[in-house]
Amino acid sequence: MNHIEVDRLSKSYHIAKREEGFLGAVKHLVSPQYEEKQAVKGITFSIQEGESVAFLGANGAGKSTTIKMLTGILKSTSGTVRVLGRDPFKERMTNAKNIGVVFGQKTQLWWDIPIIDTFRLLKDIYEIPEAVYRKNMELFMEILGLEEFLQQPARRLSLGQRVRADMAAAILHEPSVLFLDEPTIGLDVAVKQKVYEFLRYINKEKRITILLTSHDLNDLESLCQRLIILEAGNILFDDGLKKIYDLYPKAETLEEIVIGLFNRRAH
Amino acid sequence: MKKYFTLMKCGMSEGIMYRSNFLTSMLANFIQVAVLFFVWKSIFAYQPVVSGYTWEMMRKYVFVSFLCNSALSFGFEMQAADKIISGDMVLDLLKPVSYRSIVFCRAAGTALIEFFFTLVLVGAVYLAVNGAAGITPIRLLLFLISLVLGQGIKLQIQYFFSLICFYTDNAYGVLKGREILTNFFSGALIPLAMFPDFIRTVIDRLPFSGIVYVPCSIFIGTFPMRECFEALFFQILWNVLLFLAGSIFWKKASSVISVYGG
Repeated sequence: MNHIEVDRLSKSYHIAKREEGFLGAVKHLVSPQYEEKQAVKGITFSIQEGESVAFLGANGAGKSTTIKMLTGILKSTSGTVRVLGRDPFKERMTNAKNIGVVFGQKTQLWWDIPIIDTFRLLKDIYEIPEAVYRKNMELFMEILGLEEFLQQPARRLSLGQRVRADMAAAILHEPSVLFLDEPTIGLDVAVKQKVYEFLRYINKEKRITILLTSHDLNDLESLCQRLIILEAGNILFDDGLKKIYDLYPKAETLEEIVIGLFNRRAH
Repeated sequence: MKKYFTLMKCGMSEGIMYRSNFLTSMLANFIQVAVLFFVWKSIFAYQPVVSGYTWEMMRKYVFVSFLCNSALSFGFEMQAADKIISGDMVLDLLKPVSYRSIVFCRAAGTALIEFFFTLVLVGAVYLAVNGAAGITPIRLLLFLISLVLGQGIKLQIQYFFSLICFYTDNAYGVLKGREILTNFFSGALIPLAMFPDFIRTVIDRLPFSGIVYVPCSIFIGTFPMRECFEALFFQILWNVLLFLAGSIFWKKASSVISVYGG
């Protein structure tokens, strides 16, 4: 069964066009100029149940925009999106029940109250049965080591602790699909290992479909079977991760290939 | 139902967490009340009745109006608007609960704590100055109902203004504008009865009077019983209208969400 279906999806932003300097600012005030910037240009792909897929692309390639459309935050400009058979923007709240989301640069933990309270709140918001909640919390304590900082408010946590807690918060309600947008940004090697180990576990054991974006190529290789490379809003490559070596027989590592791809863009 | 209750509890925890913030700003505002108190006192020393108000009534009005206007503070509102501008509010969109319920429950929890702190301080000062004379159970009950309805109006106006932040890059100006508007037109500074007639006719068609002037007038007894019930009816009506307006505005605002990059 396809968990995610995307058909000719595109998104353009309405961006204010300003000229530089003070005069430019005044000019914009009097007659504002706008331009349409296409962030995603009609991409098509589908992801099956239990797959783990990596989204790769340079900064500004459209990865985050795509994830935001899949999670129902952003409205698409054209094309269709289906997540578990639903339109995520139109049925945002129903969709939210069945997906989990981690943004590496944001946190869904409440800033000033102990994170255990955030977990209890999530339990009630998602209407998670007590037994399931207990079982999952035990699992998170074991794999993610949450125990040491459960009583701390999010503002006191280190980045590594915060991301681990966010990861747990995203799958507490046992979603069918998990979206991760640069979950390991800024983390040290040890925490990264822990995070990927956890993701591998929930992908294999719990059969949660995973779609993640990251720049961490080595870790992607150990976690994802499939790779989608986005470039300037288009899909450049979409196949089994190993197949990319066939395409670039001279390259030895994924890193080399990606650097080559991104460099090509600069020219 | 339980989720809304838990959200409120978290809002209360936050309210307790921010208590020192709130207490300092409330004390600062209370200086303003003290000044108002003495200004009115000297005015009434020259003139026993101003627009139907006696000194007896006015020294009650000053404190009750402060009580009505201090919960749902600016700080809390600012936090919600900042989340819209920074884009952090998208995480609230990823919950199977409507964004408005999250904002409202959280605000209600924090407001309860804020109200409690204000009540202790202002209640003590009120009783020291005025004593308990003139407080009847029926007026007290109507006042409490009116107070809650008024807070509903204030919260919905705050929500409406915070949604404007979807279109602007700055929250402070928008929210200050909101604050000045409500302070002036709600009767928080001067009883509305003292405004010239032509301004009154405008104010009577706006929702703001329900926040401070109506509950105050019910409490100190300047409204006869009949007018109390009329005023309560209009408070309910405004709550409904603002709720609908909020829904329509949300539909529009939520489709312009643009969160770039991270």
